[in-house]
Amino acid sequence: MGDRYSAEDLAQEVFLRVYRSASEFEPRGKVSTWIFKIAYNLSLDEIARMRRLCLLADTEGEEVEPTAPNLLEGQELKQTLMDCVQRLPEKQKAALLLRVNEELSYSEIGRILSTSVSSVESLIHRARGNLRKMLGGILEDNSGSR
Amino acid sequence: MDHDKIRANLSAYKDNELSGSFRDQIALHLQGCETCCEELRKLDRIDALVRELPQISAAENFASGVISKAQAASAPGHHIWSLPHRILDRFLFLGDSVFGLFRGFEAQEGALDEFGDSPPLSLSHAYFQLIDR
Repeated sequence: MGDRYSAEDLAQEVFLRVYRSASEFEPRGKVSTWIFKIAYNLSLDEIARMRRLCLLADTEGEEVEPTAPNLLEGQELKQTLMDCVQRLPEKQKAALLLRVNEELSYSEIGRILSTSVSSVESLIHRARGNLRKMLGGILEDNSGSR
Repeated sequence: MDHDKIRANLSAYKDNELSGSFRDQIALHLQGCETCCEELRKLDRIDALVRELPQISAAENFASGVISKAQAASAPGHHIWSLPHRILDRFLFLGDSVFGLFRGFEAQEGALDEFGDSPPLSLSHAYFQLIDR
């Protein structure tokens, strides 16, 4: 979302939607998957609204440029990585973060993003590939420290 | 099995999302191929770096904010505005779709990898946006 306050507002809106549409929840699936789906759809709406209002640079589908290989540490490395993740297309970013941070299966991610398992597989593969390309030398430089 | 096929599936292999026999073939290949092992290690490094990204914790008044918004939403008089609000919402969504189509002219030119991740210019993009709603 770009800043903490927008993210917090959006998170509040997610729980508000959950509260309002609780009767629509189908107990066949997990509650967390349903909440993530609401959050994902609201995020897309908000990003579209921000683009409409501010004409923010749209990185969707742009060729990713490799980051200059250099020795980055601590805060600088985190900021660079954050920038790289932000530059990923929305769907790739969502799929990767749901997999890596939330440890969801491809089928759960597919339900959240309303797409097939094979599409999720492709999204995550491309997200990792793009990050690898963008991080370039950084990945090599930090390999020894892990 | 060739390296390209292995590398194309390493991401899914790492996530334990491949079928048994194919998974076994990749595991066997990895035992004798240092190049593909290095690819797998790079994927591990990427995931480790992503996991280290700072997570935002909710503010102390987060829950109370949600509760007060929920109370305000269920207050008498609020529903009077729900229909115009929904109409406005649909109108804005339509605007987004048109905007997305126009922005597509300056967006990607690459081939489609998946319909679900189609470029903004395409009809399939507009279609997937519609069915996502």
